[in-house]
Amino acid sequence: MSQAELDPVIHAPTRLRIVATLSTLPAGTSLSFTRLQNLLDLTPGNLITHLRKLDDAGYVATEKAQADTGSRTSVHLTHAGRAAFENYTAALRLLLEPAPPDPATD
Amino acid sequence: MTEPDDLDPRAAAELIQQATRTARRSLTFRAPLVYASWGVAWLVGLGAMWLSVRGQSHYSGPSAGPAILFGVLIVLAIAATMASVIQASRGISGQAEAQGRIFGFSWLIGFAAWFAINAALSVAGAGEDVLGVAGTAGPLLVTSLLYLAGAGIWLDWPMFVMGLWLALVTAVAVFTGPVGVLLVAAAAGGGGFLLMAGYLSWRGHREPA
Repeated sequence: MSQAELDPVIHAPTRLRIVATLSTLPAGTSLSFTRLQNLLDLTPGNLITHLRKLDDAGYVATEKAQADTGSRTSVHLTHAGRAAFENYTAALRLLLEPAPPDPATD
Repeated sequence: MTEPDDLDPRAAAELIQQATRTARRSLTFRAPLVYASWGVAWLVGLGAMWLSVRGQSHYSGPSAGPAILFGVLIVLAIAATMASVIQASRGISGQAEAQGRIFGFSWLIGFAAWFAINAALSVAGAGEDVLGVAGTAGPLLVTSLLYLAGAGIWLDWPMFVMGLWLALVTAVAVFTGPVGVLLVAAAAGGGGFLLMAGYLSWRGHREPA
């Protein structure tokens, strides 16, 4: 098992944080673009760039909803995205296996 | 945007941990605060009502002051709960949003139905004793069942423990009469909420940030 086998779509700091954040929501639940941006402390442009890459891979889906105050964009992890993240964390665990999983340094 | 592609597995695992922890903290309501506000409402509100009826040689119900205090504390607890839930669920839509809304409305429905029962008991000629017991047991039972329901929706074990505990407290308290029921509900019900608030706060701090 080498690092090369980690899904390159997810294996980038910002996209990893996006996917990990969305994975905490139950299936069928989405998060607004603004809230996601605040949670991850990203600029809108940066978030859009990475969401596009995840969207191209079919890992996230965005929907625009017409609210009273204007349109609102929401993002959620697709089934494929959730499965890809599970595979990614499983692969990561295998890579880290020889070492203790959680160094009690903090 | 360029991403460094030399992200090593350990750093990746740490990023996942940080991101999920931040998300969970921010996207779930602040349970210790909510439990504590309910604990204070039950303990202080019902405790004050108990103090006002404790010395009555013939039970004639709590005086207005403590009853109003209890009402105000309950409204504050509801406000704290709703503020925390709204803050946590901002920007979340879909199934979780609907679940939260139905759960929130269930409180109004449950308490409204209980008010109807209380009024009907009075119309049917129930004495002060019966109204006193029912008046304390009703909100306890509604709260207990909603905690059990919430535990089922979110698979939240502290909620399950709280619901189970409140059901037990209700079942025991109703046999202690209109005066005793206030004391048992205040001490065991309110105390139970405060203990759970303390436990959840301790558990939250124990997790490394």
